Amino acid sequence: MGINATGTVPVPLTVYGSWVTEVSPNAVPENISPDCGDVAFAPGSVGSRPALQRCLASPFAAGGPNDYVPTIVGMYSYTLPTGQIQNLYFDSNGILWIEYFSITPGAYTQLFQSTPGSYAKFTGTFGRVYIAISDGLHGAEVPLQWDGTYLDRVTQDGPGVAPQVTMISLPVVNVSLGPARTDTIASITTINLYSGYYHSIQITLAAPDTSLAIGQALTISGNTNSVFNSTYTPTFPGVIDYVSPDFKTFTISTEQYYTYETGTGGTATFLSGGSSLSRSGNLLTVNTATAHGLKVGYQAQLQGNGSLTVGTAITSIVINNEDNAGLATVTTSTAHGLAPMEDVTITGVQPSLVGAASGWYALWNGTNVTLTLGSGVHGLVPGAVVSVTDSGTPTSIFVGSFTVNTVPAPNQISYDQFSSSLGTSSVTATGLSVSITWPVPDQTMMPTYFEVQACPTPTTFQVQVTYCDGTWSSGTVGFPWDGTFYVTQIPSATSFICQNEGPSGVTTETTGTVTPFGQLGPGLHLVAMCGITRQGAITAPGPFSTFISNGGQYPSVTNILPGPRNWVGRILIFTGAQPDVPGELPPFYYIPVTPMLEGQIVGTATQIDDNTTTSVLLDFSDDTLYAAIGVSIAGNDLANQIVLDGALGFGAYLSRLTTWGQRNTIQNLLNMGFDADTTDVENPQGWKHTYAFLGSVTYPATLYGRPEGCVWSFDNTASSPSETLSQSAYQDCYGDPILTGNLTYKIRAWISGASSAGAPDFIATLSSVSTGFSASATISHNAMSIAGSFLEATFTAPTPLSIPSDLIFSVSYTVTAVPATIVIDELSLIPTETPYTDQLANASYVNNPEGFDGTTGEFGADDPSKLMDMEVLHSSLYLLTQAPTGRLHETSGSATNEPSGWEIDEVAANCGVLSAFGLTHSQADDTAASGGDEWMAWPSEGGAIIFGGGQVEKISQEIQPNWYDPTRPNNGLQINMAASLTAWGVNDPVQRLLMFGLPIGTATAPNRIYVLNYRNLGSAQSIANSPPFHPSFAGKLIATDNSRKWAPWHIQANCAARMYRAVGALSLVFGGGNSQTPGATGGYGNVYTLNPAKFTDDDFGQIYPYYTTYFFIDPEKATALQLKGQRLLMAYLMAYIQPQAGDVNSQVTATYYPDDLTTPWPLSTTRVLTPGFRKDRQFGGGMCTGERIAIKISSSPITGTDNSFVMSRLTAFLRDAKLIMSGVNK
Amino acid sequence: MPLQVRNLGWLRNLKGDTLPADAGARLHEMVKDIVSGVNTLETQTNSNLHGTPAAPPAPDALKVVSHPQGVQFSITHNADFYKGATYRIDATAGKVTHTYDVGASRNGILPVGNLKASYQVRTTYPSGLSSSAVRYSKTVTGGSGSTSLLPSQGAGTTRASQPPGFGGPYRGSKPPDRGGK
Repeated sequence: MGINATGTVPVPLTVYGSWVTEVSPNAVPENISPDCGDVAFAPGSVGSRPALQRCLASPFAAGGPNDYVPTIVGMYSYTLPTGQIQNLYFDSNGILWIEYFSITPGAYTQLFQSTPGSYAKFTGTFGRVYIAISDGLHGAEVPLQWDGTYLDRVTQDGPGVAPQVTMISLPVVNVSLGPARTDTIASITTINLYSGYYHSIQITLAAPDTSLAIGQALTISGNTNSVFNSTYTPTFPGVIDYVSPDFKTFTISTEQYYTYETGTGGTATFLSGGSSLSRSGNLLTVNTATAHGLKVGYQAQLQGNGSLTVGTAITSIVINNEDNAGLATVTTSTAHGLAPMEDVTITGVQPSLVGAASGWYALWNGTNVTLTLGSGVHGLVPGAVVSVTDSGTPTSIFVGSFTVNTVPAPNQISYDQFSSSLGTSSVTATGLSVSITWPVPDQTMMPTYFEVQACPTPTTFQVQVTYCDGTWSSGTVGFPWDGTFYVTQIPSATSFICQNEGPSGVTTETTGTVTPFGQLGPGLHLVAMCGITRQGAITAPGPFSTFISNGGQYPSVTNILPGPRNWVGRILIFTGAQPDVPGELPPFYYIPVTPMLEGQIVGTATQIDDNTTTSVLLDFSDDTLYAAIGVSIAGNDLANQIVLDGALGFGAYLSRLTTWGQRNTIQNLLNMGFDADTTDVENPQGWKHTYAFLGSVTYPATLYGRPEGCVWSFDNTASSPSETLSQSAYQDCYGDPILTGNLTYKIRAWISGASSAGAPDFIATLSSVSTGFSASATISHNAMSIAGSFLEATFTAPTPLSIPSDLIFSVSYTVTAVPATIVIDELSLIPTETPYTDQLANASYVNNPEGFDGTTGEFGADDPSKLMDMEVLHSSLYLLTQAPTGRLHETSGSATNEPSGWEIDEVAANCGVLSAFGLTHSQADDTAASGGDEWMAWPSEGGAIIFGGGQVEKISQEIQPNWYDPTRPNNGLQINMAASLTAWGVNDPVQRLLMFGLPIGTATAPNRIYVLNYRNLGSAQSIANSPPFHPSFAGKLIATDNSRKWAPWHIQANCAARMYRAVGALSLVFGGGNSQTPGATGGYGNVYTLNPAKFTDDDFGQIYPYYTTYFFIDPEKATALQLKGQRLLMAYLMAYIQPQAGDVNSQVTATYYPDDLTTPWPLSTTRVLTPGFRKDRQFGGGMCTGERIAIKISSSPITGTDNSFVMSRLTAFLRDAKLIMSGVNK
Repeated sequence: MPLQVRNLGWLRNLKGDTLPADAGARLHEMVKDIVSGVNTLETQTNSNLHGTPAAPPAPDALKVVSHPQGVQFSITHNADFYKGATYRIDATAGKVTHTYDVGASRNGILPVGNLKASYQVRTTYPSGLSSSAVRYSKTVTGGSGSTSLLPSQGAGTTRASQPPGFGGPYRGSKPPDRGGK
């Protein structure tokens, strides 16, 4: 065809703008495209999109009920704290796959099998991935978490039974001499050199001997230096006078050695008996006659053991109130070893002479005695006790002990004295001696202890004594052995060591006893148990039991049942002693680690760090318990925790895990998931198991592909009648009602069973003997499968108006002749009237992502629409409910309130999201902030919505006919709202592409991606305020570059996410779909990235990219170009069109559309896109004639399927047609 | 009652040629943060941003017995309320009433000597309204009797036999209704 450009005017097109269908195609302004497909925009150019490239060498395997190769409905890249990357995929067969991308990229293994046809939504937070498997509206599977190693349920049953406590006394044991023992010596040397001699030897043992104590005698033999081989006794040459803190070295003050001596080896034999009590380095070692039964942290009460004499003897006691008011200064003959705040006894103090002996004379006047010191002053004060003796003939009235009443003069004292025998006559005497008595007699009901106030010197100390001045010079100081001490070490069954501040010394007294003294406060206590999972979660406590502590005894806890294999420990929780107040439940506490006070172990932990121990003996005080961790504290009330049945999604806000999409399950039945049990349990916790012959048992849930825990397996053999599991449905252990009156419930459970004819059905029953009430819910075997699935059945009748106290919930099966097994798991009762908590979300306790409070953890907006998704923007949490009536709400949380107290405000109405997978964030989906602007976008019924914290803005008005318009028929153009739950959204902050996967036309899963290129736009406002065209001042629609640009991509993808397909680089990955409801038909079982070097979609085949220009020519421009502006003739076309880099197989076709887009001009022009041709391609215009003409540029393969193009310049050469008016009028 | 600020919606949508595009959104967030902080303070201080704080629910009972140092009292209060509620005991002898602020304590000894008086108790949040008074039915003469302590319901938001202290932020499983407008 010849090209005749004569008389034409060139009309260039340099801006390639958005796809716009809101405006009639032939009315779209210049630079806008009324139709395009599979193209990507860049400023000044448009070209074919990159092709899909498979990520996995081999697709996911066929499976599911129809053995289809699956489509992919959810995926996520999880970066472990170690940096390792794992990619998770969920397919339409319900299989969760994992690709250990950092280790074996491209290879994958099955992680979990769930319900086919479900969707999965992944959220990375708290160092793990939370996985919500749903039907698009509610959880279809239990909520899961993956920590890189374990796949576990999020929230789990707590124990179903209570531990039992018996208070026991450990026997009182007698203090005894320690056994003889022999230690191996490492070396001996002489030490303590002064005055030219060595005064001590130092013995170092080969191994510590905790029985070493000061004062012990021993025999050394076998040392290489024979000078040391001897018996060391208190009399000669000496005994141990120092022991090192590590009990490995001790010294003996011995005879003098003139030279330095040293030797090695040998043994130190401690004589039979040794010591009974010894204290060294403030450690008290006690030997007992029989096993004491104590443990570290227990309290030992020592009684009847007397005192250790310290400082040998008292040389003086001085009370000088002028210098040290109220203090007695005691001086001992040797170092006393005492320290302030220690208690001592002072005994055997003899009265001390006041004034000269026989230097007093006395006068009795009938009522009182006046004693006068002949020379000097006495220093006595009223209250002093004096002893008066008469060296001559005793005058009875003056001899004895008296308390000074008054001090008439410095040399006189007076006290009252009456005598019936002497009448009232005066009596005098001379030569009397007066002694002042130590104010505390030796013999008192209880020993009198003095607290040491200060120790000015090693041989002096001061105690508080309120008494007159005086000086005494006799007596002894005793440091009592008795007391109640915490045990710090247990060297042997018949010895223990306590921390005991006091002077070092030993005794061989064996008169005393040791009483293990339990610390738990006397009174009523409650005990219950929680489980600790390997994810670090603490389950809700099980039922409690009560016991009475008698004081001084130890709680022996039994019935501590092991949990499932994912439990790593159990926690025993206790209350302190408290009166039995009906209706008031005291708070529980637990001690997670061995409690210590000032560096000393003061009890035992109540946390059991294993899953096997079944009984423990504990010892702790109520104060220690109260100082530990509270169970029922606001903001972390373990007892209020609920077990989530499933989830539609997860999120995180204010250090809390959030989730939504749960069912309204009854929470206070026990062990409904059998996840409190270990395997092979015949009587699952919380259930009563009745059977006649062979009883069933629990099995590991993993055997049936369930998350860790247990399942219950009813084994229906033809020879055994039915068996039943039952529990009360009336009240829980706290007295809270379980079921509500006059409500119909349904049962939901995961059930595996045979569907063959005659196989047993599963039956749940609610019954009450007292009222005769009975209702049942039957799940037919026809609905069951061996693979298992969640099934539901409604009870045949509502509950009675008043719940009878004997209402029993039981599960069983029908007895049939067909031997079969029914495996049940995850039982739940749900009221049929309100089966879901659609308007509510749950938020965990702070930093306790599995601690969801059933009351204070719930929050939601005042919005009848279902909560579908949540997102955090600018530190506020936004809640999005379901289209078409959905709204956007916001909360900022609260520093003082739990989630139920959060204020939630409505932001905008009529902007609900189409699906739970539609909301996308401006920043990377893996929560790694990509910087820049922050907004979120989602598909709504009315269009694509963007929100940056200000106004909710619609950003898809320009393609409204291709979004949704109920006034127009959906001729394959609009979203199929019946399948809108499958819509998804994703944002690529790098490519600046916002994508929505949508089911268009009759598709029941996304078959089209609406791609918004927002390059050069950033904020929500700029995207919202940059439509493809806008009116000029004159009202004309004009379109410029740097505006939002939509284009549809024909890609069937059920999901998309930014994932790691290369180290350090997130790529946009699409989950391959087939435009049909997941699981309805087969797919390709793969995921795909966009590869600009590929020109055919893997699996899906040829791409058909095209871009249609506006209808040339803009009337104003026509006028400017002196065209008459009527019928035009497309004479010629020049365009700079190149194949995409690497493509050598493409050709490009220019197709002309006169007047509208329905009928192409019969002549089109095709040009091979020869690589390296750097000029405009020349196209004939085909003599296309029309009132206006649009040009469609499309690429196609020369051979095969590869094709591509990129166009950056286009110039149409137009001229007036010969007939500038067609005259046609129909 | 949380702070209600008008025109927040208008502020959020604020636009203008001389304003940054996101001015409204940012100003809205700023005001919301201030509101959030004020509401936190209101909660922590048991105050009422729109009026006088309502009173906690009235105590259930008051018991007063003679004590060698005066009288010993024991308040029974079972309702749910917030931390910070205090008790005031009125001792009335003749026509004279002395009011003792006993703080968060539900037990204690009033040093009234051998005064013969009648007693009643009220509860209030600081600067808030008082609850209705609960009277002890008998007139009590102080200065005698046992030193043994009466049973205790603890102090603050604790309950019977809970460990010493003033308890958590509120009684009950969820924040109680503050009442008032």
